[in-house]
Amino acid sequence: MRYMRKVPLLVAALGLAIPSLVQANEELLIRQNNAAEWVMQNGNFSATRYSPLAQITRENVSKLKVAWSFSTGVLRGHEGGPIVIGDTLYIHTAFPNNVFALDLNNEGRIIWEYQPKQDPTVPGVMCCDTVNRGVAYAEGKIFLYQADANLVALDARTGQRIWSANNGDPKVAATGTNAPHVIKDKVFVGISGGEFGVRSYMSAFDINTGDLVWRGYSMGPDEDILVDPRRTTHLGKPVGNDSGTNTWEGDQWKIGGGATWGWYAYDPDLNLMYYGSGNPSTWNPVQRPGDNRWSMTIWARDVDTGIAKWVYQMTPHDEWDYDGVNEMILVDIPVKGRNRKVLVHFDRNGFGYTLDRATGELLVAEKFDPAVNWATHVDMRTGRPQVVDRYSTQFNGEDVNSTGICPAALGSKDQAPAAFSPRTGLFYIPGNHVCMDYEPFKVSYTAGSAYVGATLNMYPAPGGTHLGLFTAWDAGTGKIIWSNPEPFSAWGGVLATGGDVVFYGTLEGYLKGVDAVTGRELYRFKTPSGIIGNPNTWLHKGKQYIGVLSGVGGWAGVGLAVGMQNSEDMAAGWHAAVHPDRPVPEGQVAIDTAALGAVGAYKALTNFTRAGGVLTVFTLGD
Amino acid sequence: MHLKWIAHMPMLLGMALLLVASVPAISAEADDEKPYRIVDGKVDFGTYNGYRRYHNSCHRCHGPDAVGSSFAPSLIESLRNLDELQFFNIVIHGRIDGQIGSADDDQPIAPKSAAGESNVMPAFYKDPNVMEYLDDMYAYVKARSDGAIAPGRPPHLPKEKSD
Repeated sequence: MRYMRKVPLLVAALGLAIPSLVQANEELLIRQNNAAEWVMQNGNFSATRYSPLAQITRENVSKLKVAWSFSTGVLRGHEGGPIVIGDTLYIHTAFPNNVFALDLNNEGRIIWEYQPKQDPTVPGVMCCDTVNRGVAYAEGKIFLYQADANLVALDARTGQRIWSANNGDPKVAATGTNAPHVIKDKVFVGISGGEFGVRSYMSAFDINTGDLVWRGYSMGPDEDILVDPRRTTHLGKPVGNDSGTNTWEGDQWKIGGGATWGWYAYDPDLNLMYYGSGNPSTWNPVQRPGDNRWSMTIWARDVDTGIAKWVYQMTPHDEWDYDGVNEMILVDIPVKGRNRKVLVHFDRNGFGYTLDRATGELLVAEKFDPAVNWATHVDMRTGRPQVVDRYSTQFNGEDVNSTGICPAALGSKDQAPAAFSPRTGLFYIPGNHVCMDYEPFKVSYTAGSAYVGATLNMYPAPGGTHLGLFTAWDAGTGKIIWSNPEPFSAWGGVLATGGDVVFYGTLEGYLKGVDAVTGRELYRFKTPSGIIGNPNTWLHKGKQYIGVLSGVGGWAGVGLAVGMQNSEDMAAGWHAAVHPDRPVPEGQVAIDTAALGAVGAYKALTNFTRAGGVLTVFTLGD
Repeated sequence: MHLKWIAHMPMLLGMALLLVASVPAISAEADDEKPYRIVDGKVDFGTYNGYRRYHNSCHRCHGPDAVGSSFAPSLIESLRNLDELQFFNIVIHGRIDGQIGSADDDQPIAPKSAAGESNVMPAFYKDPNVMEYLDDMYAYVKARSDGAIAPGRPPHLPKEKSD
């Protein structure tokens, strides 16, 4: 609770952060501080997913009731969440990416609906279900980034299309899944396709015209990746010439991957935007020698020019598909006794990183799941993870099945964004507690075709039978404060609130509220489908609401099979996942949890939930 | 069946001949004409390779172990109704809403609904990661459909010269 005293200070700091230079969309800098609204997917430019709203408290959260709900009419995975601008809520669907404007004055009555027309073959080149992570708002426009990599601006009042811009070609498997992020007068979108050899990039479009302002690639020549070889730094040292090509063999960088579909953040004082790049293509590391820069990298780019101020590659020469795309959270916290402006990032590779966000200096890199075994630690001088040979798919080589690697390719945490509460000083991490066997093999590249080159099996981490963790983390010290097991991967984002209740959704479909200090569960409600979306909060007519999308799917939902092979396996798998401490009931077959593949466990989900996009809105009952 | 399907028959046969020529047939016929062979619980290397190739190119839609997913059918079920030729035809040419062919073809087939509620299987004729291993992939999926191998990574026999 030592942060409580600093809350007014923090709020004041945010207020002062409004830059005086241009009028380019100051609107969001102001509106992000209006807790009555939820104006961007992660709540604010720092992506803390914290709301100071405090009507819902630890004491009364048990009285939370459903106020209204809304079916999106689309099955499949629904990631992201609602945004609230004034009295209107905007919500999106999985492919075909319909958008609805709903009237909060009328229990979600539809004001308008936008239905894009997209080539139905696009889902065939989407790696992990047909998800979309939500819309963005700025200056009377709603921005939608469609699966076909078209970015459209809609009139927020009418749903009429104002402009459309293309950011990639689905014929080569470049697709759109991330939420657009508006920063100043630009709207930023990345690209998906790391499993298809798409050389990926971050693009900035003008919010008013839809013109491309700049585009920075994850790998390639200096002019493509937008670095200044002498000024752009990696751990304090200039990256030098050709840093985006000289750790690749030949011109493999041209199909180098490094997708950019995660969550971005913005520091107005530094004029930097932050995001991560994903895995190098292919998943077979033997086929692409070298560090494969700048895949798996945290990027800090100048908002206006795109030139990188600094980069940090977390997982050089990836051998496990530990995409670096997860959210970047910007906070000012004490690190080793000194107040710092930091960036905090929970990577798929299982390390929680704290960096100085002005300089890119690495301050903390510690495991946020104790199961992580592929590396012993991160060398703080070189920034390199110390890889354990036994779990190195490069070391073990092609056509060899490396076993017992933790975490699995899903990562110790996937895209679902974590939250930070300035009241507790803690980060809340939705996590996967899953390990894998991984066998790389040779593949050929064909534009538009899968370029994976590995097969893997996933199962619960050793010693446990649960697939998820919900963890509170101190990013100043790199320590786990508490951690709650979840039967399935925690694939939904987190919301921290001024009422000291932290909300998140689960794959079975529960919206849960836990005590921000102790992690004790205070509330749960079973929504119509599994949750992989993010709960957001707002005020309407003075009353606090929380809305969350259900709609199971995403990568975790790929295992949500339609036809079950063996109901006994399923039952036993589920039992083991949920009640590790109790014997398996008679009539069910006990199975060795080590042999319980992720499918084995995830398919048990069908006992609990079915596909279907639904927005559920909660408020306190009388 | 569908006109489109018939229209593609010559092409398919051409492809199939090519495949026969380029990919050595695994010793399938010996075992009741099954495309896979299992000895002491171990699958032949071709079927094992099919498992790997399946998980490179197919599992994101059809689910791990061919069990299906929230947006593509279980191939365990599908292979109970499809023979080898039909399987090859769909993989090679793709299928939209039950009709063979894809947007890659000269005459793309319109989807059932403009809202995109379509069932789309891409065409893989350009993809060597699929085309070079079609027999192996069929053997794997068929073995899964027959219940001959369990979910997960199947134990396998060593690679033979004919594999």
